[in-house]
Amino acid sequence: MSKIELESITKSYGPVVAANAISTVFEESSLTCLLGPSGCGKTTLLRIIAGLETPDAGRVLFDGEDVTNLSVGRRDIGMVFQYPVVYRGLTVYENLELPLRQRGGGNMSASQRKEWIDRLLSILNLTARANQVVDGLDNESRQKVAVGRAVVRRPKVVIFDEPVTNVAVDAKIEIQRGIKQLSREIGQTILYVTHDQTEAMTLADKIILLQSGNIVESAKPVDVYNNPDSAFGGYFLGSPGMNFIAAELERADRGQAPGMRVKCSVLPEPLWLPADDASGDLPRPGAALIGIRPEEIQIVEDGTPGAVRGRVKAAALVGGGRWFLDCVTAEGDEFKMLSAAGADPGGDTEKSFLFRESVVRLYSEEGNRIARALVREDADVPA
Amino acid sequence: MNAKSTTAVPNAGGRRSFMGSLGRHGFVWGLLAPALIFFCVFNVVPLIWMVGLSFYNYTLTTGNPPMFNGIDNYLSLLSDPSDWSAFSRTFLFMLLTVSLSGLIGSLLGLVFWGSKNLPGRRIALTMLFTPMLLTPASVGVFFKLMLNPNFGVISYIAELFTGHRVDFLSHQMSAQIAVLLVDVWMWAPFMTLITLAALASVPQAELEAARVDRLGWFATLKRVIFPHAKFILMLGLLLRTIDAFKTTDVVLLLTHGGPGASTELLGMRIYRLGFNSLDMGNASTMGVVALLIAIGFTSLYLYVLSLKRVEG
Repeated sequence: MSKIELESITKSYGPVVAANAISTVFEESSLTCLLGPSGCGKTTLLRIIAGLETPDAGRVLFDGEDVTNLSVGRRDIGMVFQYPVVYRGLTVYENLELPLRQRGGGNMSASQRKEWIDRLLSILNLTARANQVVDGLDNESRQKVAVGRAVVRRPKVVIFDEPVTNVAVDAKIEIQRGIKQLSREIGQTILYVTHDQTEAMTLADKIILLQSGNIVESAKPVDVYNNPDSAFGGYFLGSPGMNFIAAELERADRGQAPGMRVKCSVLPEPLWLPADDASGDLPRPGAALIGIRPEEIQIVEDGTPGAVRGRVKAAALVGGGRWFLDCVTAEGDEFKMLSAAGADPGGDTEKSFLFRESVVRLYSEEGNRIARALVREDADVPA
Repeated sequence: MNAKSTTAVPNAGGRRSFMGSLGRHGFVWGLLAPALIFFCVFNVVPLIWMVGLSFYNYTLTTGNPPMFNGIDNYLSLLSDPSDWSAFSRTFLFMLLTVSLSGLIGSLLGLVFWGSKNLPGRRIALTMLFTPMLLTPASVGVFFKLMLNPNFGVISYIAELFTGHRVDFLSHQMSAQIAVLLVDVWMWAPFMTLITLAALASVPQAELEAARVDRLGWFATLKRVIFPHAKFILMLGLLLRTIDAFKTTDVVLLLTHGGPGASTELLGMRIYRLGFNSLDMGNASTMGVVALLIAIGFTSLYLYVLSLKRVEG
């Protein structure tokens, strides 16, 4: 169990930059999910930490010790691959025991060893199959064996490279539960690569979102979801992702207080953005983006105060009686929303929509968060 | 096409539909014909001829016509010690050449597999595969020259160590070793190639897992590499076995089976019986027995192939 630090890790394959001076910290005993679309560099980063790839520049530190030039075998890691790796001709129990029997496998007594392996088998729901030879197992059970084998030495960090891509849904949930339990009960430091945002939200203590070799988000799942630092983060997490609607910023001081007016077609009244408390900085006037999650939009009775008119272009049932709606405002801004459970709202119908002003997030045109609370223009100036 | 042909031949009787199908498939048969004719003329007919001759007493030197003598040839083969020793010599040769070329070839394969980034690897590999690409007859001639006691380079090197000229091919033991080593030299590269193919079938993730789990080289070989590589390796060894069983050309050119009968492998024995003693009956009998053994090995090979299909 260790703290893993990356310092300006850079790696490119020809013209493709897989890691662009990435620096971050994976806290001891935490479960961090590296998330991102295919080709964003998450697997490369993982393999650099494992020692299976060498970075072009930068350092990898395990508990402050530089391991950049250490080979895989000397780094003390465990790893689970996308493809379930088991050692043939051995039973499930022997597979877990094998790393302990190798050089540097620790010095547990025979009884300690048995007790520990039995505990792992029970966490992974493999006790009944302990004495079965792995050759006859299905992919799901093989992957569970691989998970057990990765943690059995209690390495400094266990690395998962999309481990549930090739297993059926039931087994997926079971393996995820096992991993979560291992992380909680034995405090194993875990790095988990996935391109599945739901999986990341379920498992992670912290999510690191990568895009083209850069970290764009790094926070607790709930924070990444609610307050993404980038438009990409908002768009990538959630299904459907966050809506981004064009807005207009213009200078509008209120008395002595400098600030900007935010106008947008989904806001019946403009909002007001105060200057940064510390620096007094104001964003550049002009085009900006408003970010709002699909579930933060409601269809309301016509004539409800604060509602704006718009049209449902298409509707699709998404389960649980909820509808996924493709909508457009009267002014032509498109957005997606999830309706409350109920009757089919129907395609191509005029509706009134209420956008919750209190959760509206403001982004620059380039997609960077302007992280300050917006207030109604007619509200009292905050003290 | 089916619908068309059924309307063209309504109420076709057995004969007519057979002729019709021959006509329809005429193009296919036409394409196959050259290969089939060659196969019949050069394989099937001589094979039937050989099986027939094996029941006759037919020695060209006597000038007598072939005389049917039932299974006498087979009985005499069973009782002739020199036939028995040709068989046992051949099996010993097979065992030694297959295991030696298998061992050396696989080790070289492992070396080349483990040195993917080494400069000059491609050139070394190409050079390594050269013996395999040579005609066995020319290999026989090369080595005969190199082992020549008067001007052969190997004899010269041996003289540097022993102080006197060594005539390898005129002593039984050294001639046997020479034949064996030449065959190993020629075929170890084949096993290297097979080994490289087998190693390429090991999934990368498993090799990486073995490094992560700190498996020693033996455990990696046993638990990761071998389970994946064994099938291709086994096929390679079987091919080598079938090939070693047939070895004739190298022996023919290197030692002609001598000195005495010390390097007389089965193929050589048949050659000598047929073309030196002109005893066609007995040569054919040995040919039939050799063929049956070869069929046995080939069936084993096909059986192993079918195992993989079931597994895969």
